[in-house]
Amino acid sequence: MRRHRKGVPVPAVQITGLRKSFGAFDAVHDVTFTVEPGRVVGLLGPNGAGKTTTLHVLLGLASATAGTALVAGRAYHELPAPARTVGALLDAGGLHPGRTGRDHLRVLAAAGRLPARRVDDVLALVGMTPAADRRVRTYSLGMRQRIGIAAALLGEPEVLVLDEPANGLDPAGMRWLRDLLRGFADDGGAVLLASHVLPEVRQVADDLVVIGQGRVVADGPLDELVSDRSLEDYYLDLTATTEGVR
Amino acid sequence: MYRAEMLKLRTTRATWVIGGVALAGMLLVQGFLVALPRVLGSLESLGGTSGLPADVAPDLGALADPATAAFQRTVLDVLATGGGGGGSTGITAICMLLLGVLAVTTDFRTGGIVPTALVQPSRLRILAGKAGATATVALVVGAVLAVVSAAGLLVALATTPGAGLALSAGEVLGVWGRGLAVLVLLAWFGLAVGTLVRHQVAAIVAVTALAILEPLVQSVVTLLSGGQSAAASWLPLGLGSLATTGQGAAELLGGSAPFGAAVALAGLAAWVVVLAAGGAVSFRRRDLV
Repeated sequence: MRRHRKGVPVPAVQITGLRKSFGAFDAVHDVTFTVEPGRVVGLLGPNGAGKTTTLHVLLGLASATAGTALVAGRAYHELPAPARTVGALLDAGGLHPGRTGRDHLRVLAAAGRLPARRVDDVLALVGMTPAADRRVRTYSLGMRQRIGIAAALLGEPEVLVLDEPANGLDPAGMRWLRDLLRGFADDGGAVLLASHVLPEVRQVADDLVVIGQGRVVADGPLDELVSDRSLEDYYLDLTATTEGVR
Repeated sequence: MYRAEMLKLRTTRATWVIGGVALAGMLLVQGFLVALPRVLGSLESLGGTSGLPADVAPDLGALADPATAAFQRTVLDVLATGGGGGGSTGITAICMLLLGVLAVTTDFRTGGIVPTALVQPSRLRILAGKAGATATVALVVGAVLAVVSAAGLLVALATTPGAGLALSAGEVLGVWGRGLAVLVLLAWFGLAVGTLVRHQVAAIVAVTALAILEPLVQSVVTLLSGGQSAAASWLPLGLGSLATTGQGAAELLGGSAPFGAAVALAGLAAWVVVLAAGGAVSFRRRDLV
């Protein structure tokens, strides 16, 4: 991943003045934050706050109405090797129920021009080797999440963007995920983690971005923001005026 | 993207079912065509065809005579229209339309378009991969159907005393070559419809309705115009049938085709280009989620 353009350091993720409208409805309005290498950023917000929409725009799946969303200083579609730069998990990975977990990863490896051996590597990493040749329809939600995480890791990226990755994971899986994200960031990677599982975010995140009604309502180092309160108390106080589905 | 899209098609059951249905349809039509001379012969020996209108009996006779070029073109038709020419939609055509539709709408139905677009953000490259993969599957299916059609023709000739090949090698290769091209174009037609519509059920309904309604529209236009209007000949599936077998098969059943196979092939290609261009613009501009 290019960390510097023209000698100027660029954040792993840089979102500036982002607005995304659906007709007259502003799903995201003037959202600005960054994710630096070596940091895990927890992205929190009530249902419908605009977290997932922000990630969709960042990943090039939806267009911005205004503002920019950059990865390593570039719009997603301008990345020369996106699979090697960003690994993402959205909405349980988009798995075809009739395909095996291994074939799902083989398809993505082929599309991203990644070596086929990476499929076996990531299957082993997420503990799915024994079930890799079963059809996805036989998987539990947690197993689907593991395949989705394996897909995100396929290209050995330097930025991870994960939307509710802990969905369906058992306690061992949660701990494994936490260790994975922490280790990933400690090795210099950047993680943007959208989640409602506040205790997990508390344990793994360095920084916090809270979105309410499409706007950033808090942004900074987690320990400074939360101070001596629990993350849950801080979050609920912060979103008390912005909570609820819009 | 081509390799990835080929893997997608190979690792989903629908592709194999579509290939199997196309093969079964071809075998059924071949069986019908090979048996037809004997069935008509039996009816004649029982005096059964004497009740047919005088202008229909010769057409049926020509259709059922393996020694005629028209019969042989019909047997070699990889669209498996069974002699309907431009007046009916072959089962292979429906299979190719569905192949194209499913190649793109399955990604939208399962959410698979998201991981695909994450590793390959260029929407046009994704579409190009799908076009290449569906074309490959269409050609493989078409090649198998061509072999089956050759076997059917051999059986028909071998079981008909005095019958020989009425078509030159060039004509045989022409029917197959244009047939394969039509299969690819129909798969792309389905791909374009799927890209425009996105919703799988809606896209399947759209191409199925086309397959059912187009022959009806052709008949209605022919009736209302007293056979003078060629407008309905420009509808896509009719163009596909006409492009494969040429004018012979259509004329056989009393139809009138105002142009030849090459023009029909170009007409079908024009349909595909227009729809695919619309699909590509839509695919590039619209959000994927």
